[in-house]
Amino acid sequence: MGLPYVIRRTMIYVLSLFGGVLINFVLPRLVPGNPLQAKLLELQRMGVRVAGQEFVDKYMKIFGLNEPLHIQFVNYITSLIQGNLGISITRFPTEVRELIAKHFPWTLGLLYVAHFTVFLVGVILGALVGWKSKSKLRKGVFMIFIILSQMQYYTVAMTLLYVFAFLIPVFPIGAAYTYGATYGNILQYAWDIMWHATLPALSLVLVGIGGWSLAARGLIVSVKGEDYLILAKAKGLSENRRFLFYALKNTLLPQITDLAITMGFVATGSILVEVIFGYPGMGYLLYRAVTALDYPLIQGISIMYVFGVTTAGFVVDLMYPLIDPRVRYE
Amino acid sequence: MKLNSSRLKTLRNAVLSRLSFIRSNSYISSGIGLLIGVVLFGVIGILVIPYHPVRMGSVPRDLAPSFEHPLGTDSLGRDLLAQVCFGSLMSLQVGFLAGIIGFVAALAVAFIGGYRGGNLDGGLTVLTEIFLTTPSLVILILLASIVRKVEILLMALIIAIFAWAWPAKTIRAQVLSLRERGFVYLARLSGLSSIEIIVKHMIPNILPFLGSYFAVVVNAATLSAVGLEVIGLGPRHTTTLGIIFYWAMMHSAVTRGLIWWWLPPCIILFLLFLSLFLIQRGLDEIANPRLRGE
Repeated sequence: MGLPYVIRRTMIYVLSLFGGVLINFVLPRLVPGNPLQAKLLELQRMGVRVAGQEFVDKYMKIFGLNEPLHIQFVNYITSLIQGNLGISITRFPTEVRELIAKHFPWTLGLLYVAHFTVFLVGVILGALVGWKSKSKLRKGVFMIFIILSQMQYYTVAMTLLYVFAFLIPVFPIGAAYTYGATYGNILQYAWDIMWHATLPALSLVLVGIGGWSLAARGLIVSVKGEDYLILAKAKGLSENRRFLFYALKNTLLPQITDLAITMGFVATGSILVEVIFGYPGMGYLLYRAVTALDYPLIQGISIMYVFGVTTAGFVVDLMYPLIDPRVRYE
Repeated sequence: MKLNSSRLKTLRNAVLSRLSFIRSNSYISSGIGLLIGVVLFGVIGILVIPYHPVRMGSVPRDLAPSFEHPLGTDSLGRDLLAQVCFGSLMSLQVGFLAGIIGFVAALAVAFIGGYRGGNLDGGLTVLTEIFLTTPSLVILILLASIVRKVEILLMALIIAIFAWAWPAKTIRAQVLSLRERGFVYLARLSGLSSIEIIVKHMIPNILPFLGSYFAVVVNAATLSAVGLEVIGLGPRHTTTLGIIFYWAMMHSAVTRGLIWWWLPPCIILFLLFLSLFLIQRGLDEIANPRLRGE
């Protein structure tokens, strides 16, 4: 692995993180006047019960909001590194980091399962369709992929919710587990969680499969004419062997880099899915924060998303040359 | 007068022959047809439906579909068909505005960087990568929640902040290969300025490719716009397809079984994305004839 690429990629990673932090730092300060004070007044006008002056004072002191801007920025970064994300306005005095810690596992589980299921299923289905593109059945499946790839997370989520929770109520209409339920053993608990996660995960999977399989199909079609596949055929290798070990293997690797890019899409897509299903992950927390104008919480969550997505992309990009020996970055 | 009309005719013929690819490619013609269909649906709807799409309480609440209200009314007392017609036009407007702004920015970054090369190109490429690796919807949510009072144009501007990065990256790659082609060398030798070379010789050469990327940008921009609107960060005093979803979710339309509230905007949105996809796909085939053989 060439050094300059690593340095370049690291630089982009650091700059992305820095940019995200900078935006988080600058934006609230662009609001004229004291954003906290303004926000509190607005909430009080709306009749929301919030901790008043006590909160503002505490916040001003903790974050030194009376200091000059550059010192504020240094303080901001220092507290970020220490994992201090501030205090929620609407759920004062709960710390933002506490709220995130409570909601993060749900999103992580959902994303992890959905993203990798989509990758495997999508790539293999797409490859199968591309391998014999003349077959009628596979042409039909290809059309379904095109339609799926043009669907959105929210439309699929709403449709699934309507069909499988309202029309045929086999799945719950929301939440991540049955509230107040007692479980005989850990298996029942796990089953309950999976039962609740099925529809949200399925929304992510269905939409993702369309895009992934279209890309996989395109790759397989372009690989089909390669010399090494003609040679494999001339050697008399079975069709299955040619498909699995010659075509699929070679198209699987380049798509691993796409995992990094699509991570961002899926992560943000899950925000909307979580909102629609009332699934208590980070997306739902963000939605609640946005509707309640809880700026510290919004900021904390967006910092977490920026950190998570850029780091995942960074790791995948650095690992890629180790996985695919054909790639050598200068 | 006569001269003018004949010149107009040759001009028309020139334009038509340039655009003949629209008819020859079934993807493009069906995509454009679908898009025109969505626009007509919105325009005719606005002209025909007597109800106000935004003002609350203008009709009785929570009505099921009937002759007077083909898609029923919502829980805030608004006719849903009027909302869908008006909303699809507004969504198109946001998507295209943001798409145009983002696309022009992408063109500028790609051509300035790709054609000039050097440190400027290096800097622009790094900037593009940074925007590509950042989860855009989250930053957009942050921006929109702090700006709060967004109108259509501001909304489009906010979305365009992230809409340019992906096309800038791919267009730049095209510019790099185009730069080394014979006719560009020739144009440079004959003393044309950089801008003339780019506008007169390079852009016409990759027009279908650019067109296909424009469709991609509009698609992505519409997607982000609806994403923001669904969680309540859309423009005020108006309605869009995403804002209809927002109200539908606020009033649990899905779990109350009010299918006429949320399904029609879903269908229009799907048709909109499908039409953009078909146009993009068709232009791709023209830009890259190898795709046709599949």
